[in-house]
This record gives sequence, C-alpha cells and structure tokens, in this order.
Amino acid sequence: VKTATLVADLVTEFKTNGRIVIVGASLAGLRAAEALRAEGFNGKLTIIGDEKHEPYDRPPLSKQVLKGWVRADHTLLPRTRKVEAEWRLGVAATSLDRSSKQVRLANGDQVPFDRLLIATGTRARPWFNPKEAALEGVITLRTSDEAAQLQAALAAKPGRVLIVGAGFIGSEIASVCRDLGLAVTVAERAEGPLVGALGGVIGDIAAELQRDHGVDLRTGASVEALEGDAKGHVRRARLSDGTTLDVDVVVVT
Amino acid sequence: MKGEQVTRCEANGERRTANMRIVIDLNRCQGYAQCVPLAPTVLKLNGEEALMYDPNPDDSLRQQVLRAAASCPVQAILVERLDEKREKS
Repeated sequence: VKTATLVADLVTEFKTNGRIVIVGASLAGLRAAEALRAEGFNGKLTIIGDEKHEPYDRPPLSKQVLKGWVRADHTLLPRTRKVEAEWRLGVAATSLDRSSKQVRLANGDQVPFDRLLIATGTRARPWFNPKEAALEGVITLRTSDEAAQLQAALAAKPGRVLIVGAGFIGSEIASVCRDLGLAVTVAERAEGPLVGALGGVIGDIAAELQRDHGVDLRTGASVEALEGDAKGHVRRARLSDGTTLDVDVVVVT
Repeated sequence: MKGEQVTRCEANGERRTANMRIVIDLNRCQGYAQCVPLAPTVLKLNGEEALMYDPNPDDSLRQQVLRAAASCPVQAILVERLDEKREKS
C-alpha cells in the first residue's frame, strides 16, 4: 500500500510540476502535446522546431500548393485541443545531454527536461554533389518554404523540369508539371515508377499513365551530373543513358 | 488566395491566420467525393478520385466545410472547432 501511495504521489507530482520537452513541431509533436494535455499533464511543456512555422500539414505541399491553388503557408494543422506549450520555433535542437537532462539549441540556449520526446521525422535527401546541389533551381521538397520555392520556380514557366526519382513525391510533382503544361523528364534508377513501394505490376501501370500524360520517363536511368550557367543557375543535366538535357529546374526526391 | 489576415505572436514570431483549419486523412479518404459538392471551393477532385483541399479556407466557408465533413462516409475530414480558441502561446 505504501509503495502504491509513493508511486501515486510521484505521478501526481510529475503531472503537476514535471517538465516535458518535445523536439519536433510537426504533426507528431503537436499530436503528442495534445495527448499529454488530454491525459492530464499540467506541468511545463516545451515544443522545439527548427522551422519558423507552427505545425503544418505536409501532403498538400506536393499537390495543391505546387499547382498554385493553395499558398504554401496555408496548410497549418488544425488543433484538437489547447496545449499551452512554450513554442521554440525557428531554432534547431542540436544536441542532447542525457546526464544533465538538457537539450541544447542552435542559438546556445539549453532547455532542461524530465522527459524528452524526439519527434523530428525525416528530412529530404540532398543532391549528392554539394557544389551542384547549391545551384539555383536545384530543389528538394520537404518543407513549406521549399514548396513555396518550387511553386515559384514552376510558375516562372521553366523550359524543362527534371525530377530525380519516380517515387510518390517525384510522380506527384511530374503530374503537377503536366497539369501546368510544363515539359518534364523523370529519371528513375529502377525499372518503373513507384516500384520500390508498390512493385513492378503497379510500376508498369504508373509508367504507362505518366507517358500517356506526356511525361518523358526514363527508367533504368540515373542523373550523373548537373551543370550551371555563369550566374550559378542549373541549366543542364547528364544522364546515365548518355543523353544531356537542357533543364531549368531540378527536383531531387 | 484569400486570408491575408495574418497576425504575429510576439513571443516567437509565429504566424497565425484568421482562417479556419482543416486536415484530411488521405489514408482514410476513399474518394467517395460526397464532400466535394458541399464545399466546392474548398474540396476538389483531381482526376477521378484524388481529393485536393484548401487546408486553411476562409472562415466564411465554415458552414459548408462542416457539412462536407459530416457527409464523409469514413470521417476523414478533421475541422478545428471554433469554440476552442487557439492558444496564445
């Protein structure tokens, strides 16, 4: 009975005065914060996010945002309840000191915690060559800011868009490009689009769909090098099938 | 686009809009498209079954959006409730 009382006291104390830090201010971090409050955590809650935006929905970024229908900063997630957290947005958590129970931030601040939740998700894979990756017009798509950048690049009516990788994101972007009337090449190392996720049968169907809609789909082909002009804007891509393409936008997926 | 009413939260420079907020669980969505005619400026079909939506539509469309959400056979549309004001910090 005494042990049970002690545990109950500890739980009550933690729920009242405990400190929880959530690293990651996107869907998982937000819903975790809401769940903690819903379960009666009344202590100090801090949410740290490297992006300056409050939690937003990512799936629309590769669809309605690129089409230009919805603004990139108009995909904020609905809240299901109040979370009464301290939001530290626009500053990345850079390291964790487990012995002193502190999260260190990029600006040098330290945030102490009793319990820590890491909900940072994943990140876009950058182009493998850093010099080529730095060329203007070479874009990855993961964040709202990147979606805004890509949307603007597509709206500027580039001569040709090259998409590296025919997974879900690459295929979606190709679809948007065709809807916008843009010439688009998709280079995919595998034998078809979506093969990694959905297999060859669906891959063949997806390949047919893409080609029927005017996508220049190159399967079994990888992009080997990107070249820029004097102003540092990407202009050419060299593919493993021996061809060279004139491109104004390259999306790395 | 609508919704230029952006205010700033002094505490951390976070942006807030006066628009409503919705999210559609696209894993749950089966493309029944019952919602589309009920809020045609917020929900659109891309092709035959891919749903696209405006996640932060103008607040004047709230009734339409609530009806659309209620019509979804798989309840894939989550609408932020008006009576629960978003927290200040």
